[in-house]
Amino acid sequence: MKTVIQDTSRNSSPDEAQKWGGNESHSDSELELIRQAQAGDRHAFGALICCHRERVIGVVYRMCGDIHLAEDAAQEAFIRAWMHLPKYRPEAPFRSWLYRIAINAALDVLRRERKTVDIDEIPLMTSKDGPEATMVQAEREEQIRQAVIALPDASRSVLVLREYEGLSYREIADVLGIPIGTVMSRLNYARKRLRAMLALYLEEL
Amino acid sequence: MSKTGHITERLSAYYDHELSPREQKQIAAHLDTCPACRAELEQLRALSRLLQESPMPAHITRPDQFVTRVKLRLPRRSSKTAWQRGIEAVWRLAPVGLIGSGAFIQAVAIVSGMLTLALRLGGEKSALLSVFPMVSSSTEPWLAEMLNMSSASLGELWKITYRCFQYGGPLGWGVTLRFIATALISLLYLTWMAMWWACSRHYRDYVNRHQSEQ
Repeated sequence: MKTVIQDTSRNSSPDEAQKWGGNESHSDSELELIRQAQAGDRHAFGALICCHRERVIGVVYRMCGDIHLAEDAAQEAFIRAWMHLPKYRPEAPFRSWLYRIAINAALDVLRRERKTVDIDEIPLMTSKDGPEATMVQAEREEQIRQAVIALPDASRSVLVLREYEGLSYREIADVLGIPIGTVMSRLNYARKRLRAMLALYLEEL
Repeated sequence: MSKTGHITERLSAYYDHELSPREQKQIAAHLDTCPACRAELEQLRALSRLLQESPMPAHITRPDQFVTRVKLRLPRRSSKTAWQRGIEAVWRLAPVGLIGSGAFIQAVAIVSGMLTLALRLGGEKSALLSVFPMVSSSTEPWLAEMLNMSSASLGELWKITYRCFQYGGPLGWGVTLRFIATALISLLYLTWMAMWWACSRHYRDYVNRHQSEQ
């Protein structure tokens, strides 16, 4: 059965974040940084980048499956965030607002590059085991990465936000601008697909 | 759809603790009696563990380098609306416009004055009109009077002046209007200067205060 992909987040602007009802409260220092950045302070925005860089790169890396593309997409995401920042309202969680931009940037970069993941780019793992075990482990990780990338964009977005970022269904719905029911069905679909693709490794666990 | 199938579909949400407490209890009760669903749940747990086995690559750009790269690529951003930008453009161009208008009025006055002087000194009517074709007696009634001045005696000058006033010539409305326009432009320009000075002083104070707070 093929799941109908209806990714409304692709067509909506980041300022829709204003209507999000997130529970995440900003710290005073972050709020102040956001205000300063909204007023055009690049240093304040630099501090915001420092705070959120790791998470944004994490999300876009899981979406792209390639660290070089992910860094490009993360930079793109922060530049878009800078441009849209005056429209951002602190009632919405900044992290969710940023995730939404990051996911869109990752999908745009992927579409633009259409780059296939090179097997040579598999990072070498430092392990106590011998080289053979390291290679097996590296291949396993690569298979997992490829399986995630093989998911449709809409399902992958939901899976990444849930499995790697630990967002609740409500937060995922807010980030992607979709109903909670859609989050559930997309996550269900993504997990089913992954279980089928990674059945070999799941049996070992 | 069977009861078991229904639970299987909701098992993912159960695993994420995203169901209502009542539904969580229902599914927990079902899991106690259904080995197939328990195995499904275990598969979900195993999948989460497996996904965590794919770590982030170690060679990521250092935070300071990343921030520098992004900041270098940040475009100029204007938070002003088109309306505000329009007002700002008018504000910036106001002195140019005022000085230009003043200069134009003065230029017209000088040309008119020179023309009048030339006529008083006995210039040729036809020659003057050929030099200044845009100024004809029909459009500038005062000129018609002035053109007749060359032959007029000094005694008749007051009569001509009086008629010029009647027509609104250079000594009448023309001069008055030019005087008013020049005064108005000067006033507007001085007002702009005063506002500019006040704004720049306010901005200087704000910057100084901000810096001293830091």
